[in-house]
Amino acid sequence: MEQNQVSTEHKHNKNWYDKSYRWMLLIPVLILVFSLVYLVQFYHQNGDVIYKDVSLTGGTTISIFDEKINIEDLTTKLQAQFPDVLTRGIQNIRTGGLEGIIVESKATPDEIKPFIEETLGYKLTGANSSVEFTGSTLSTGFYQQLIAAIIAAFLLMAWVVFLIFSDNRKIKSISTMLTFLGVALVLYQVSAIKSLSGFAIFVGLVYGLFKVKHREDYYWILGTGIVSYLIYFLFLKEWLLIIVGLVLAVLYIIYSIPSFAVILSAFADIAMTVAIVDLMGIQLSIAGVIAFLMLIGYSVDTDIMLTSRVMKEHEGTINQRTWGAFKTGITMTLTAIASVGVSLIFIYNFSDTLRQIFSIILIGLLFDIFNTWVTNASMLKWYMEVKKLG
Amino acid sequence: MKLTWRIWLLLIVLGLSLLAIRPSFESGALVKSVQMNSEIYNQGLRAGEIIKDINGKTILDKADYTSVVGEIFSGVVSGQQKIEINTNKNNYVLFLNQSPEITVDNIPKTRIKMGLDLQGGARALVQSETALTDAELDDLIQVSRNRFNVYGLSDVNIKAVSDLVGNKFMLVEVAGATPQDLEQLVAKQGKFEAKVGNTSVFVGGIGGEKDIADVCKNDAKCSGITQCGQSGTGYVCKFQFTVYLTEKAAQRHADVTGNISLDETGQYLKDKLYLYVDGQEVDSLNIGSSLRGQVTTQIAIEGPGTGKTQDEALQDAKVNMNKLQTVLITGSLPYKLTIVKLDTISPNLGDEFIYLLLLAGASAILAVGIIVFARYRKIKASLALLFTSFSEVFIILGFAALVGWNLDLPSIAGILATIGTGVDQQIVIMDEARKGKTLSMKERMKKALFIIVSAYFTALVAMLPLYWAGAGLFKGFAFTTIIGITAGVLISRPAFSDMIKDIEEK
Repeated sequence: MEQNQVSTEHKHNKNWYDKSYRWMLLIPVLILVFSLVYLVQFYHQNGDVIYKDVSLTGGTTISIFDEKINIEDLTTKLQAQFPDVLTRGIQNIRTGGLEGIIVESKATPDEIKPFIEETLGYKLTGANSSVEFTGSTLSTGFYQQLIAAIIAAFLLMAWVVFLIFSDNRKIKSISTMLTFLGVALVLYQVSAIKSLSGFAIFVGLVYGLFKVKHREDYYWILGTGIVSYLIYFLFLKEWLLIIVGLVLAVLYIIYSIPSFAVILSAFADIAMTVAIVDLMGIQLSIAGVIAFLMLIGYSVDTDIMLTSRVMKEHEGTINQRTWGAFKTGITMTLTAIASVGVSLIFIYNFSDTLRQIFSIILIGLLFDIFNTWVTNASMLKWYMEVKKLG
Repeated sequence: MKLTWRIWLLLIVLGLSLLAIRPSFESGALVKSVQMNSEIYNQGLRAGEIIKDINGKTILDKADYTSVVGEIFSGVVSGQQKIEINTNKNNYVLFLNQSPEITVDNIPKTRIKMGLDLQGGARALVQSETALTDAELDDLIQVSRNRFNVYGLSDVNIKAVSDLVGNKFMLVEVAGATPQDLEQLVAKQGKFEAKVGNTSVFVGGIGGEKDIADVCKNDAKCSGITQCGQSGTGYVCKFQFTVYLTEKAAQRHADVTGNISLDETGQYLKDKLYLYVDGQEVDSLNIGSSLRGQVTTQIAIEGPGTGKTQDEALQDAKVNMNKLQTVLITGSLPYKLTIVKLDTISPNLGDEFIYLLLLAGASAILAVGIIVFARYRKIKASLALLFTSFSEVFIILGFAALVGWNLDLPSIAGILATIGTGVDQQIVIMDEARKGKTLSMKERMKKALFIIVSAYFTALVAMLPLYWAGAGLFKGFAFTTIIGITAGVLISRPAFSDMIKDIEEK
């Protein structure tokens, strides 16, 4: 019964999908190009690819718990004194009533607290308020570290994906060495990570040299090992990451289009989500940046499932396998969207941290549906047909 | 259902998690801290005991404690009150003229520890102005810990943290209510100096080569509020306590004062003894003429406290006295410090927040359940899926309780994220199990597990760098996610695949 249903639906889809899947790739390409152009332009205007809130620029967030507070009045008075002040209400989800107000400013608590106390006519204590202050040097440092963490996470994710779907021992070895060189380049100041990376480069080298088939491969692997170690010991400069990243991208494209399709989809998810977040004018907090890290993990889930179903199985046609994967994948993403969406509703007015995390994951998941089933699926099908696989 | 060893493993781990979380139904008020050398401390009461009743009145929770103690010491009743405290370990009979110098809290219902963002408290990240070695940072932490102890705050957690670029910080966390003076206690160097004219007589710190032999604290005979009075529109109270100098410092005092002439009245010396903390003058004391050139090891230190009402002034004087005694006892911090991050989080929304999170988590699982049921129309399989998701959350909580992890907001976000990815992977298993019969069930499960293990490693490597980023303040996210996905891959998903195998093969 179930089986019949699949094949009729699939027949119905077949002609249309076979004809148009390459054209469909144009849509994500256009959106991705638009997002990237927008982000470059955004960077030129704002000096960064996102708007940052006080947890990333340095400053103070004060939450005052007072049901009778007059938000507009306090806001106007504060903004007269501190032009960068932002305020918003805290609502109780059960009663819908006002619980208090959140005030954000780049000023220090010592500067802004007395002014608020004077306006409200009472002292802010631990019982009626929360005050969070981050110094600007520290928050700038946090931001750079989170970006480094995201870059390292992305490099490692791409490497794992390549290991899963490629059979080329030589490139597996080379990409291992380069990936961990890249990780060392961004995170060399943490001694644990640096030593671990050094060791991983060694493992990659040994793994490559262990069963060499051609003399030429031998030189390539040994050469990469030597260059990696030279850089590792003598010249750990961040800018080299661009070269290492480009070399890795080229290797992935040449040696495993399916892996590259997965990595590209994850990249597109992130780039498109950043663009939307910017367009909505959201100021990202530390939590928001962490959400992008989660997105890396979330978005490759369905891509890996799709790719292993299409490549590693031999039942049915490519379209049938893709359709089967689609049914699984869309259930996966829908459940994720449902759980994140429901949580978002509950904490929307309560926790800024969780609201940002859930909003970003929600946007990312919506893009992921599109990038997995259009970008990745089309690239994979194209590849399989050109290679006459399946 | 056939209970395979994988399902048994899951059940055993769930049992162990329950044991680690260990819900408690005991009633009473838990003693969180006892002020050192206070009357009740000397009687033997220690943190960790549970107060069961006071003067025959049963204490069920913190609120009971507050109201019963408040009643005893309320109003204008002055003089000493008899108070009889029964704890789970012992009973204590005291005569006090103020509330016992202890802090109490409700007995935690489980072993799960809530982070500051949920239960309230304060957190300060402190950095030295000069770069410190690990040994120097340890030194600093020792002195700071001592300072908090002397001050009377025992529920303080101080540790060294570093970030991705090798910056070193001291992280100070105070759970529960926020002490007002946290900022000063943490970052003030507390360099005490007593000077006559421009000559230093003695500096703060007890022990070793230092100048002070002892400082009177918590002893009404030589430390307390001496007088209160109106001054202008407010009130001023004066505190006084005795400091015992070492012979060397006393000799110095004698040498310095020996050459100073008397003032017009002939009662005092012309120059005063000036007290400085961190270069700022705190007070100046007249030196009696009889002390000139004398080797005296006992010095009375005075200082004021102010407020709008007499009560406020009294409190302020007490706080100031405590601060001054603390710096005199502990000496100055070895380094100049800056607070780079300071969060004080009110505890009053914590309960509502936990309620919301439970509600959000339950609704999320329910929403997932509805979608899964709509897709598969199989009540048994859907229930198995929900059970597995729930058990993953439970295992994370159990593990967190076991290692004493503080569940903060990042940790909670990690748990919610794990629900999402966990369900995803169970769906992969369900779909593999239901697919065409050309492959055996065992082979299909193997393929599902391949996809799951692949996804596991990508998620794992993505989380690792976060463990170090941002002075470890976001560690919680990586911690709960990694525990969750690891428990999933090793324990709950193999069990789930056995359950599905069993359900599908029937």
